Amino acid sequence: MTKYVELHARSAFSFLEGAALPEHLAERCGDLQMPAVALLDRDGVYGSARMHLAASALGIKAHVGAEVTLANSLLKGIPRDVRYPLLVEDQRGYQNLCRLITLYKSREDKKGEGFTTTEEVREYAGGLICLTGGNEGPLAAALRRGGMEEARSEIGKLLSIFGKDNVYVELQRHFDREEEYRNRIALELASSFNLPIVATNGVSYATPKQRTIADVFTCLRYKRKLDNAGKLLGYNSARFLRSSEEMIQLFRDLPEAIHNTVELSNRIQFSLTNLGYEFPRYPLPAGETMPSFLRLLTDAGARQRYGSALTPKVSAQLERELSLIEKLNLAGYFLIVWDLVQFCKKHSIMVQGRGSAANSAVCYSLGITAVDPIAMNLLFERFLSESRGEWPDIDLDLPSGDDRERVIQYVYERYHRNGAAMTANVITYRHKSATREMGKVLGITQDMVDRLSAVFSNFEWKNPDETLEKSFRDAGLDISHPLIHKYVNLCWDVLDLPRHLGQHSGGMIVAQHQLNSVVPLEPASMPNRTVCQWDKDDCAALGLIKIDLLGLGMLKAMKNMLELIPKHYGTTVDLAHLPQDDPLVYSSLQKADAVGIFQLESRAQLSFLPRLFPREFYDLVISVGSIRPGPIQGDMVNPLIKRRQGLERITYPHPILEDTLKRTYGMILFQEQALKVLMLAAGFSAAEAEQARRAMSHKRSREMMEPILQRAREGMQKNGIDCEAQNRIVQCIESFLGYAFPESHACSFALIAYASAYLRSHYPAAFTAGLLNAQPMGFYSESVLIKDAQRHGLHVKPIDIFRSEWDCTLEPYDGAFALRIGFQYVRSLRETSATAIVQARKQAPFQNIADLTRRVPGLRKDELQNLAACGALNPLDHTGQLHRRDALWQVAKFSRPVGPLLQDIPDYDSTSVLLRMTDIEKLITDHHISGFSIGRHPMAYRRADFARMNLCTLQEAKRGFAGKRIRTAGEVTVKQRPGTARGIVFLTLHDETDFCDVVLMPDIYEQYRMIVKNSKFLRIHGELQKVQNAKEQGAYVTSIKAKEIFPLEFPAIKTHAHEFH
Amino acid sequence: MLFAAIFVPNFILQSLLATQPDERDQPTAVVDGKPPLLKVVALNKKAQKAGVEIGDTKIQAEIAGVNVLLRSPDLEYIAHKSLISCAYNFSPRVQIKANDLVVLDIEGLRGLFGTPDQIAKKVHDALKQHRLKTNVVVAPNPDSATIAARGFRGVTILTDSQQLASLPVILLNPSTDILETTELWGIRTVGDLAALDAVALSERFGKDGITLQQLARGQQVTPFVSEDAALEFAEHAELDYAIELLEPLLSVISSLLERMCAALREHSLATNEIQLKLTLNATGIDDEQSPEKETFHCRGIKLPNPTSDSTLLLRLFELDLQSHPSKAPVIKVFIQAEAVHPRYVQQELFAPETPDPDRLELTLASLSNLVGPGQVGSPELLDSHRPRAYVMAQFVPSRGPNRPLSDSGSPKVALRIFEPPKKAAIRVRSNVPHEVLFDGKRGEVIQHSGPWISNGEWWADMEWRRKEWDVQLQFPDGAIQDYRIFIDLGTKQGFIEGSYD
Repeated sequence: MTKYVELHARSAFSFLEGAALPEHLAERCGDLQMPAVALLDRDGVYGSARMHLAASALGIKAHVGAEVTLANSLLKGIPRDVRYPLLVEDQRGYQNLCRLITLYKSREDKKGEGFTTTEEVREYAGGLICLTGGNEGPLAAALRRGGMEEARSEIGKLLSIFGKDNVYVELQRHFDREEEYRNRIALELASSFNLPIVATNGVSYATPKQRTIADVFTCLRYKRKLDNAGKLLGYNSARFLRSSEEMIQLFRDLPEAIHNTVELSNRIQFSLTNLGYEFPRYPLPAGETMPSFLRLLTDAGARQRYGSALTPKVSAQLERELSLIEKLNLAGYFLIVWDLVQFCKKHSIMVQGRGSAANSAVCYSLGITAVDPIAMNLLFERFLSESRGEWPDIDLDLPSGDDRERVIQYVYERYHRNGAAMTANVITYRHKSATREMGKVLGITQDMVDRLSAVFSNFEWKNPDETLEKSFRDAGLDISHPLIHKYVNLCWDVLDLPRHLGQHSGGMIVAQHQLNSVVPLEPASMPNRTVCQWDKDDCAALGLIKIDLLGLGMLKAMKNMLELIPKHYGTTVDLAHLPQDDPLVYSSLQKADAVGIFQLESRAQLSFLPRLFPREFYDLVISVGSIRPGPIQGDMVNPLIKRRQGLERITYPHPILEDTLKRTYGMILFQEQALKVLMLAAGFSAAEAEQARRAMSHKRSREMMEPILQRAREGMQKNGIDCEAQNRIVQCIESFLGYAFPESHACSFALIAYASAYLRSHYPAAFTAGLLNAQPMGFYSESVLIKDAQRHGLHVKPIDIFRSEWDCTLEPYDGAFALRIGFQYVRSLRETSATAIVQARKQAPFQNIADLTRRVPGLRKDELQNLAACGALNPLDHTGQLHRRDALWQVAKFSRPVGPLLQDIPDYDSTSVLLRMTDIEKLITDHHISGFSIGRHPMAYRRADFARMNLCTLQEAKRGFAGKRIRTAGEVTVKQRPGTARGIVFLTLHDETDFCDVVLMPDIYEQYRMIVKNSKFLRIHGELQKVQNAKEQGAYVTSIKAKEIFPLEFPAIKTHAHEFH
Repeated sequence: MLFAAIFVPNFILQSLLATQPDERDQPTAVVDGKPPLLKVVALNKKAQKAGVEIGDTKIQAEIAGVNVLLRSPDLEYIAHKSLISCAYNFSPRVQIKANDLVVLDIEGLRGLFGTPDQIAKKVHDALKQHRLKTNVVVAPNPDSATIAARGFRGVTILTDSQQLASLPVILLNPSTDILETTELWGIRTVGDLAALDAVALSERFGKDGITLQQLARGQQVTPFVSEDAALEFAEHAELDYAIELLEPLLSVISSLLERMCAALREHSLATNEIQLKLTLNATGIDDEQSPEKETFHCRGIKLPNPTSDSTLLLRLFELDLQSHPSKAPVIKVFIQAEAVHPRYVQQELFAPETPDPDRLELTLASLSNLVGPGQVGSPELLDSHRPRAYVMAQFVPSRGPNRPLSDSGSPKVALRIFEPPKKAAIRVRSNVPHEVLFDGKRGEVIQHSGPWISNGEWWADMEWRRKEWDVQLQFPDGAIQDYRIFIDLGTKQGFIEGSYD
């Protein structure tokens, strides 16, 4: 029989206060056989969804509630919260709680804070039960304020707000004298007001051990160190989840308080299963229903896409999809997404649906996606199936930046500020943040913490021995010392605990009625945005529909390119009607000449493309889909290449799978193929296959996949598939435990990849300008993009006070176009300053620097200095004699205001005595100011030295034969340790002649780790590796297998190597 | 005018190696900080070659095979004093610029010490005797001498400001802002800066630019301010034989104190802080741990009111040395006083008279000697849950009116704390204490409340865990008394915290 229910628990979603995840609390309740638990996090229901899901899985009831902060009071100079612990009794109560929290959170400018007033609580008190609380509760606060009399009056106030049946006098026992004194008064008050008493443990962590985390969080919250946090820290470790037996023993003198926990728990009817969420209904023209209107739009769209006479195949597919959409009552959802796409089109915002939506002919007809699923033979069930029981997932790719913000703001406008919100993104402790913050509270010096943070690599793959302990040792810390030992342990303990709430990059939820009745909303740190208190997984799990409005840098870049092309080339490019077999596109991809091309520019893609030798669009789909952890770990990629090159016979695990796997040479590359294989070979239903897919993408997938794979084997056995073929299929499926794209998603991306390759081949100046204007994005730094463009013959012009604009632009040059670098590449120059320069020069050209400073008075000293340092002011002297240091000399004078009396006195020393910058000085300054130089590559300046050192250029190195000993050097532009490469590190070296990949086997990496980590320029001694495409003469992939690595001494150039996972 | 600047490069390391000449040729790094976060703050070239850098941890330096020494403020003080005393040996006019740099006026010293070149060499050699390698520069003004001493190695005679031209601009100590700009201008040396047009420079950097350029051109910018050597109040005595007993040692200290107090009085000064440094005969030390630290026995006395009474000071040292005797015979005694102006207090007519400060100090010192150090003073509560978390602050008599004991009329229970708590055997049955034995008495628990459990400071060496009760004990003679008892959960030892009045 149930004896005790914990009704006052905080999770780590009481940020920097609670120390346990809701799941851990639920697990602990399970261990203690507690039938229910109430989570009352501070000012929110952040953890309630996770608690609900975890508790439901264990058969535990998760009561919902929150501690609501009232106006702060100060106690000895430290803000002391007064919080009403509120339990939700019914749906009305839940809605009231959400609205109340939204109301006071929305008042605050600063994210994550806020407090309410008793008047507001009174307004929203319906359906809520109030406990009198522990240390932070209203009763304790009243006692502190004015003793018994004040406490009596506080209880009276609570009764008037919540009503007599909804106030419980709360008793907590943490072996603290002061608390017991309060309990005695509470009992006295309960008796005099005839109120029920209820025992809780004011839980802040699941187990006593987690008290250390609670203490550390307290320090972080109050910005103290452990040594000087004093009485802010816990008095003891008693705020853990106690068993019924312990609580009964603790309250043996007050059995009623224990009994009432069960009574109160039974009284609470609400759970998150009945949220009352409803997706918005689309406003319809008269006489239409949502299904009929969707049919109308689909039919019209289909006729545009497929021609006015629809083929029976198309009609049948559309009918199948529409019927299912109607049956699942999803027409409104499609209409709403369609509406968003229409908004984008109307406002010339590029938009493309990604993900499994591209499997739907309805989405294609509505213009949501750009891939024809019928022509591509894509599997609709991957997108929508009757058995899935969840909303379909339509993600829209939008140009990142302003355009995406316009769409987001449109959603707010359309569904009201309280009807839409971004989903949250819970920021959790990772290695770096944990070491930084734990170090802070332990009093570890800042430079030591920085040193430690620097040791952690961002690589995806880590050696099994690359533990926190090893990182501490590498930073020179003695982990046998008790303090450092505690430091390591604390870092381990806080890993994955929430730190604060951020907003998801694009996920939005909307509701028919007020969304703030479904989940509390709060202002995001970005203006005009609100964020809900749940992340996207919580929203999905609770049936809230989400639209992902994702920002894609490449779309922003392409939009910029499409604006530049008509302006300068005089032609218009229509992405929907690009020639499908452009030879320039394919020839450059076949040569792995793909820097800047969406999805195909990565180091792995560049070594894959010459082996694949793409000739048609579907080859790009294969390319996009292949370089994913799933296919790579499943050993699908190398056999695919061999089969394509004719080096291996194309076979299928079973003849029944031939149709499904034909396009990928018998290998499984895409999620849809994995599903179909399960359906065809193992007899899975569509629903079972979908269940398997979800298991694949689950965090605990290996555990969950075991029974599924076992069932697959049994199914295959039944279908007469032999053991060997079974093993191969299971291996394929297992490999997808990692990650693979849906084919439709790969198609969508391949479309953008093709378009970007087309623009790169035909409009290189516009392409490079577009990329530079959309930075940061992609795989390469601006420096690499510019050097690559220059190698392809693009003339790049420097920043010029007369010609540059904020963005990079094009200028006619030698019968073609040159790229003019924009003001955005002048360090610390504000856009407003650049605009002021452009406006002023439109009136009249600047005569000299004095004229510039007079007419653009808002220019700051550092802005002027940086403009001068990068040579942007040189053209101000019409004789062409002004050099960078002349300009620096002059701006130093003009950036010191002389006052009105002297301002019109002519400048007598406009020319300086300073020497011109040398080429190396210019290079260093350019890298410092812009992050790149349009002059020679840094390596070129020391080529003669390198020749004496017997180091060849990368181009020369790549010309060698396989196995040749190579001594070369270059700038490191990319460092990568992919999770799929078993510890191998890949570096991309770059010099004035070419790029080249360098392969570091794990032992070599360990040997030269610090050099690789710290050096921007490297000398490599190694062996040339060449992989020849057996079918195509001259198509090969080259890399250098490093044997020895040395740092290369170089001037102080600030270069930037991207570290990738 | 002629000035000499003496600069001790790598001062932190040199001050350490001066006492350990055998280590000079070893790759050596000096670490500083609080364990376990000791970091390298100085190192020699050999250590640099071994791959150690400033900011590395002690472990990293050790892994690199470098000799690691702990930074010693004492030895730095000695090195600094050697530097100053050497300067005073040559000139009465000395300006102390930093721990590692002094400037002296050498005008008119030719007759005593020779040419400027000879003086510089003599200074250089004199400090060599103290095992300090120095840069010594003679220049027409103290600023040029200072700049050059930081830039040139060994002995340099600056006859022409052009000699400064090759030095880097950073030696002029410009602001970060100016340094960044001069870097961009390509102005990297003092000569480059000196060559710029002065008006143009002032238009760009204002007054700071002019000052820098004056320095670059070898002009004097800051005045030479000689320190008053007589204001150093220190006395020392080297003993012919090592003293083991306190009495003869006190007689040495007494004579030093008398001399020092007389000097203080001559200047109408007094002291409120006095340091005693006894150099010990190293062979007589039993303790093998950290020998370099144990060769000195340092004691200090701080007074709330300044005094120049040598008898009082001697008595205070006597009491202090009785409770903190040296571990080995003493061979050298050094005393140094912080000189301050004596305080004259106007007594208030109606305020109660406070005790004579000197007598009070003496009384407190006597008490401390009697009950142990840290046991006398005014208790101050610390912000901690740790029971008995307080420190003994220095007792200062209150000048205000006495506070009433209680601000309300209601009676309050007072807990009389035992310091230290009394050990007790606490017998517990079913988690409840039923019998307590202490001071040879046995008390039966007839009422209790609790347990009250507290623990904390889990991150530090001082982690504590305790369980306490308030109990009413009945003794065999029928007496009943209320106590607070506790069990230290770390040692399982029971205690009586105190009794309730």
